Amino acid sequence: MISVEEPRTEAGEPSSEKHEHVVVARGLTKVFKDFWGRPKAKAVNDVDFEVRKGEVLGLLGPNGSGKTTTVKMMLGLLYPTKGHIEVFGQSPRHVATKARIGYLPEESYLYRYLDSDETLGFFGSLFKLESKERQQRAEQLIEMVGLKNARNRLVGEFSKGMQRRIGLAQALINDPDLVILDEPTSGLDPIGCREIKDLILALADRGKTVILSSHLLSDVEDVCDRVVIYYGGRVQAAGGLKDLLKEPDTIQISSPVLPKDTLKRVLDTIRADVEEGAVRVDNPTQNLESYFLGVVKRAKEAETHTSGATSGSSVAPYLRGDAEKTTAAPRADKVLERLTRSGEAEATATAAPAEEGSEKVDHGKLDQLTQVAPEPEPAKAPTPESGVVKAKLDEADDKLSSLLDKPKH
Amino acid sequence: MDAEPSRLIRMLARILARLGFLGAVSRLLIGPKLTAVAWLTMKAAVRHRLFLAVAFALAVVVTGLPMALKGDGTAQGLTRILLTYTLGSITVLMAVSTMWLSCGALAKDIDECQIQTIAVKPIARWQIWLGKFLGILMMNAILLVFAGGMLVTMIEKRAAELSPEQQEMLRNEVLVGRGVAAMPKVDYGPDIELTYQRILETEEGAKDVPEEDVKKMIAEQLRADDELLPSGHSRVFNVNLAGVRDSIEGLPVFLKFQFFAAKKDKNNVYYFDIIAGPAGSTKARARDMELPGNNVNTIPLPPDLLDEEGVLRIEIANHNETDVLVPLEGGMEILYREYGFAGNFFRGMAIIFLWLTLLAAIGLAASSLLSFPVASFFSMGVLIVGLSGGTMSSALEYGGTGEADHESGAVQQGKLDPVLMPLFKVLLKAINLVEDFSPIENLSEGRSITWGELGKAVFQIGILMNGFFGVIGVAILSRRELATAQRG
Repeated sequence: MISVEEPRTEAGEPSSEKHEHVVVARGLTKVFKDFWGRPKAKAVNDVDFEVRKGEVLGLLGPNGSGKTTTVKMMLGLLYPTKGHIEVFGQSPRHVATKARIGYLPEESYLYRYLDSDETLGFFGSLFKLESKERQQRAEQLIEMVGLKNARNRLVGEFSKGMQRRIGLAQALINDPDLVILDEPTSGLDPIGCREIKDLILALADRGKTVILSSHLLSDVEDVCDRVVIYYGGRVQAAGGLKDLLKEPDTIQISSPVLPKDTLKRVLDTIRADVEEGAVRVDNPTQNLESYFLGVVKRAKEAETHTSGATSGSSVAPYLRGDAEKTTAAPRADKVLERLTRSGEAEATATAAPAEEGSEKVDHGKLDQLTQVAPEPEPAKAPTPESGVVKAKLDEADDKLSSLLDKPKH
Repeated sequence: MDAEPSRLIRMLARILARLGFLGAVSRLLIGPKLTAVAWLTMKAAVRHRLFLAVAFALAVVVTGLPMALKGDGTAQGLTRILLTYTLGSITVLMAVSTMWLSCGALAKDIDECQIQTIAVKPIARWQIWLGKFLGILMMNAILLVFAGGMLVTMIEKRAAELSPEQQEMLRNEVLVGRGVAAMPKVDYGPDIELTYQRILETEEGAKDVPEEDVKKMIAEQLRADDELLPSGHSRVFNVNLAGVRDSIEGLPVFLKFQFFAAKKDKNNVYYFDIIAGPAGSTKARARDMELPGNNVNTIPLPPDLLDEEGVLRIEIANHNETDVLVPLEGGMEILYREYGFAGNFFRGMAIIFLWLTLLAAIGLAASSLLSFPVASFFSMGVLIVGLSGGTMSSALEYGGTGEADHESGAVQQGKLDPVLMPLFKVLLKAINLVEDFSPIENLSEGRSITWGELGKAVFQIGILMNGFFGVIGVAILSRRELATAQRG
């Protein structure tokens, strides 16, 4: 029924070239049939893609576009009608290979009559983890996903968000090399979403491969290196996120509020080269995620009690491994980059108009940017040399560290 | 209000889960993956309250049934209530719960998608199947031990209420494992052939009748001659007990005598002289013994009646005005003490346990492919077919499924007979592998269930039949796409 073949070289050895890829799909097609074997729906249609070791790949697409079907063929839960797919150079049904995979399904497919400890203990047993190791990992994972206060409650009593959290924990019990997350932030509150994204980044920093299937564009944009965009069962676009998103014909300049005269001068200068309707000036709005995180931080400081899920602790030590010491900085940088923008925006929105002359437009830089238009650089944050911006950065860093219960870097 | 039972259930589940020693033994024997799935299956039964419900129902049956049914104060009456009815009810109850659990254990996991989180872990699908099977077996073992323990306690309690004579009878005739020695089977082959040749020589039209039909009639006639005990006549039955001579020395034995009268007495009472022991011996002689007809009569015989060759000679004289028929099979048997009750009871329960394992295998095999309700329906169908062995063997005996002509005895061939007859043959062979054993009947009659019989049950039911359904179930599950179901 399944037509998955292990690719071999002429000498009969598994192809070493393929081994650089964690997942390879070629001509992958899945047709669902009715009771009489008649084609009912073509969920995936002649799809080719590969997932490279250590990357975070996003499978993007609207509902019913074939993402989950692809994921399930990757896991050996569905069999391709045509084409083939291999994971770590093996058929998806190869039992030993599954020890390297962690999977969070799109819904909580967990046993409702087990509590968190039992759930993780059970799945740990399937990986032949020693009892002590199993307990340690379960302990760390429960802490990580913020279910410490609910560890003895049955999964069936959990809210959807809590079920996602324990689902995520079970997916990571084996410290997998390939993590497949199907709609991981579905049902999660903004804190949970942020934590999941941070976790994905932490896993990627450790060299793990992550496949994220989602229809939430912000999730994918925040964490993925590459994306494969599905529609109607076919891959419509694929490539690096920056390559796909850049608009080479447009630039964006961010700056603190400028005196009216200065702004007028700048606009006049620009309008000399660009037609009237192509220039837009407005105030950036604050990022809702960071605003929400700020509110929760204040509530947490006031020690408001909750019997539900709490903000998760740091990534489980066994998942961090040794790599975290060297990779924590880039991860923090990425998060900081986001918060810096919002912090800046906050300052912009709330601050009184700046003293005249306190902020100068860098005409040299402006000239440079207008001259080198084709280079698609993302908008830059203000230089960290600025004392005001540095203070905002520190504030954002403090906010994040406090929320994640982590020491400030 | 609901908190208390819920807490109780979870406490019970915790006790089960923390039986560290059992868990360690289980992991050693069957490995951590199978152990994990087996424990999960048990936990499911406990947390869904099936375990408690069945345990409660068993407790009600074992304690309630003997109270509801009033005994007649005899050992047989007590046995009938406690072993025949109660043990029978325990078996039926556990059969239903096993089928329910086995159909749900896998089908619900597939329908509700939990299987998708297990199947993506490094566990082979046969291990999932076998783990579920072992979990159901473990639960059944616990429940059977619980029910068996309660039953033995009830027997002890109720036995104390019997008269001393009946208690003595209970100890000697019921709460034992008695071996059975029967008349040697007669080979009618040579006699049939001789008679047939004589008929061919003497009867002109005999050649026109199919040989098979003539020989069948001859065999029936010869058999009837041997079973007939005419009025005013006596017959000697020799039963060879040489093999157990030493073990029954000094112990009483029992004559099991069953007959059918040609003419019914209005009181159903018949008279026989029974003489047991070597020819000329008067050690055991009963004159004009009153015995009810169409009934299994158990008559105690004094010890040490065997002749030098270990043969027990029984002479029975028919003192009635009617002929009687003593069936060759089961009509005349000697029962002797072979085992104690405890061992016999254990082996009987073990065979019941094997029956339950088969139901579990059938249920799991069905639920490997079908949804929970359909799998339950299918399993019940298989069970009904299994219980229809009598109908199938009748059809085979008469040679068809059509209506029988009462005058000629010939059976009309049904349109489907060419398919049904071979199918019935195969099915009957399979059914006989399971129905070869009668633990409840044997325990009720105080008959031995030997280790050999248990071994045969282990092979026929535990290995052959379970293996058959196991292979089917695993093959289906291994090939099946497990993510076709979607929830929500």
